Amino acid sequence: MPSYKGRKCYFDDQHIDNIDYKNVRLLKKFITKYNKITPRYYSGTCLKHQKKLTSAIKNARFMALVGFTK
Amino acid sequence: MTEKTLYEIMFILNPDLGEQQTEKDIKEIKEFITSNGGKVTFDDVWGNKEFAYRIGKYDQGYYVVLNFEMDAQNLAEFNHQLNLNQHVIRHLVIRAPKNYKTITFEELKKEQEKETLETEAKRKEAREKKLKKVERPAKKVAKYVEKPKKVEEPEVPQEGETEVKMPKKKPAKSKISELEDVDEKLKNIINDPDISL
Repeated sequence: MPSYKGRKCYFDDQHIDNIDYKNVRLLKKFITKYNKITPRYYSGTCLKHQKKLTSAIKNARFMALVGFTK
Repeated sequence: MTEKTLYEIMFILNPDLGEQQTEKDIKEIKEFITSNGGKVTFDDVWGNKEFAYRIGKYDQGYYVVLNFEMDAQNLAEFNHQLNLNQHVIRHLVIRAPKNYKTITFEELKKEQEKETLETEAKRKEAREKKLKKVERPAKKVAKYVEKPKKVEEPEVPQEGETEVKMPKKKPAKSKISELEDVDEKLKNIINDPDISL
């Protein structure tokens, strides 16, 4: 079993409060290779930031910065 | 209580319009904001950029980002206007969050380049650490390696000698032996009384 004891939310760690949908490189860290949003139990982000992240990714998808599927 | 909220709009223009028409369209949109009691605080033109997926018949579009202040009442009209505009492929209006910092496209690119460099440096460090960790078992292996090295050094000339000698000797021997064999056979054949030539 992998241990999730010491892991932290990435955005808490980097002090990123507002997730910008234009920053595609940051969003791609939390997207699988099939362009799906990684679940919280894989990425370890906290709920507050996961919600912001999903909205940012969905905005980026609408503006064709990130694909819906691959 | 008429505090105007800060919005951010990103819209994609048709890439086949040409420079003059795109400038005109951007101007028109800006004028619409100013004429409705708004104010453009920041503008950034990304230029032509490829889509992640196909929209209609277009593979790329002309991206423009604007930050502006406007009343919420006029925003609906603004959205409606953009929907009617046929040069605009897509648009997205977002309320800018608190402590919002505007970032141009070039700055974003620079940041991303920096990140790539940092990640590469980290990977290099990780590799070096791994190599250092692997050194301990490598010492054990080195002992095993030393023996064949010692053996190899004398072996190499031997092999070379054997390689050099064997082809010299073997064919010589074989040739001579073959010739001798053939001679013997011939003699036998010639001396055979049963065979009449």
